[in-house]
Amino acid sequence: MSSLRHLKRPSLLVGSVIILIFAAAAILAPVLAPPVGSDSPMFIPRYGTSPLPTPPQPGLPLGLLSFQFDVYYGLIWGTRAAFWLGLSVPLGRALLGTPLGFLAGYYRGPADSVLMRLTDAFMAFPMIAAMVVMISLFGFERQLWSAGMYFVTPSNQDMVVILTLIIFGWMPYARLVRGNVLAEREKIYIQAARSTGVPNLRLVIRHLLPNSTHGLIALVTFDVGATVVLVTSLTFIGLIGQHQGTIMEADWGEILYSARDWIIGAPGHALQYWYTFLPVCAAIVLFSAGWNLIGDGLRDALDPRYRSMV
Amino acid sequence: MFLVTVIIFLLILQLPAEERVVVYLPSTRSNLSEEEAAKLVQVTIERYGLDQPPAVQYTRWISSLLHGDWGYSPSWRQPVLEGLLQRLPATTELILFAMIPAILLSLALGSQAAYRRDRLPDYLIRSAIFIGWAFPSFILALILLNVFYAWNGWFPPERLSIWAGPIVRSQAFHSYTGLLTVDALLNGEMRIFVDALRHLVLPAFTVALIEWALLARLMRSSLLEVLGHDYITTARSKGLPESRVIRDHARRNALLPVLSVGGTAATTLITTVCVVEVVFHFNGIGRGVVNTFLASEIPVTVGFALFSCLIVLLTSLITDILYVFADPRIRIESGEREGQL
Repeated sequence: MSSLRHLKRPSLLVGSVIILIFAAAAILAPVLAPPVGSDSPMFIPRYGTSPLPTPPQPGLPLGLLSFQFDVYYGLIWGTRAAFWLGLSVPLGRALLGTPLGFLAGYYRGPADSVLMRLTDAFMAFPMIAAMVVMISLFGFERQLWSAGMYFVTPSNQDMVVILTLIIFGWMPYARLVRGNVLAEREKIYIQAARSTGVPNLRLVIRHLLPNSTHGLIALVTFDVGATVVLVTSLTFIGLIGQHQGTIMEADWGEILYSARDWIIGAPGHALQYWYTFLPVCAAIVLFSAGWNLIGDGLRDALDPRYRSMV
Repeated sequence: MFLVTVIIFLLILQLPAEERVVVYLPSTRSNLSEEEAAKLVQVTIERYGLDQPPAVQYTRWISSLLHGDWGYSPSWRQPVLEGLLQRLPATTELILFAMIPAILLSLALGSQAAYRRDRLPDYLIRSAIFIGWAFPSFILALILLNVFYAWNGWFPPERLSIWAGPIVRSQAFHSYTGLLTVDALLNGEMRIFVDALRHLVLPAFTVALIEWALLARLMRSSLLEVLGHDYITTARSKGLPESRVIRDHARRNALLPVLSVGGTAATTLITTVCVVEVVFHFNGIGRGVVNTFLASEIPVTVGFALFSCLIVLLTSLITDILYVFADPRIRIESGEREGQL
């Protein structure tokens, strides 16, 4: 069965093209936007201190943000951050959720019901609530001041964000795998393998596990876009991130956060500062739409149950 | 709910007692020396039993929660529970104005799209679904804000105009429900009603479009699946008109998956609402919590998490009940099904 055949599905094709362009931008970032100075390339270079954004001009394709951070540079290098975040979170969720769901489906009984209750409990957390709690607990360093007060500074928030997204996001994976295992284990080929004396471990690894993972790839693909959108929106509203003012990481959410005072221009010039936010918004929309299209196409192509539906 | 509190509590326990003390310490600045401060911390730890075994601490924490003591928020200048409840009506109003049209329209248009598959209405509805599905809420909100506020000033952000604030806060204006539109009508203040409505349009539309897209997509694919079943063919072959086939046979069965997914959509709804509130400066729970956030106030964040989990669990309870109404089989087979699962 040729897998290229599926590229004829328009959603899969369009999605792949979009994501390939983003991937190219991420890989070619040093060529497209050469790093300036000796700092880590993940920090956006700045060309001044004025709080007023600078419009696009030769050499600065997308202008400068407030405090003169280079928008184009941030957009290109932010692609790397988006891929890093978007790929690590779903993979982490899959690595955590798959074994749990598999154990529940395979052993059934008490193990299963305990796990399902646990899943329900975690499902009750809206991601924003989980994020707020986790960051307020672990994303800050508290030092006791001599005045009997605590001095609070943000610390290793990136790690906390990724861990939160994984810890409070593995449930769909566990549910999917559990359902698959419950359905597969009753099928005739498993019973056939068992009756020919295949040892249990081998049965699980060679037969049951590979056949219980369908649907996972589509789920991962959907999650990549959703994760990036969620994190950029939380950064935009100011929940995540450092926001120090003097340095800025190349991250789409950070750019939007710093653009938030410039989104509505002066009276009569609504889109005066369009370059501070429109390119990044477009990138986020395209990125998430690209992954969603791929996920949609994959689900259509790989999962016969969905084929009739769309 | 019990498990939820346990999870939150286990997370809290990961912090050392020296840092958890911050919740109980007075926030007023006093000139203590370093030893005095360290001693104060020790005394507070002992007084609130923060060094005792987890089970003891847990029962203590739960009982204080049940007694309504959710901690104090310095930046709200009021207890957490009171602050949350005070901000609740605004959020409720937003959710009501967003979700009632969204649910009704998604069911109606979703089934229209399925019924007129691959014709003009279907394409129109599907492209609208695509917009709601591909655009993140805050980007949608920014676009709307630019078009309808910056360009022509029809629908301003925040909850009320500046002139309307004093009227609402005055003695003559009775607050019955806290929902500004309803209160304004009950008080007979048409101007306030129109003003509150104008401020609601954009945030409600943003939330509604996103949730509508989710539900309409589900409704469409679920109805398409149902229409492929044999009993639909049977109904059609009996000579039933197509409208009756849809109404009596298909729609009810198509509702079931929508209900079960719609219940879990409450969690994403809360996240969306919070983001939208911040973007539109709409003074509800989400904005309140985000604003205290730079001070990293643990009681507020934990209170918010408990509160939203409670809402989610209530929603899923309601959908479970609705499910029973929509699917009569559950009432008969419930005992049997328990055994299977």
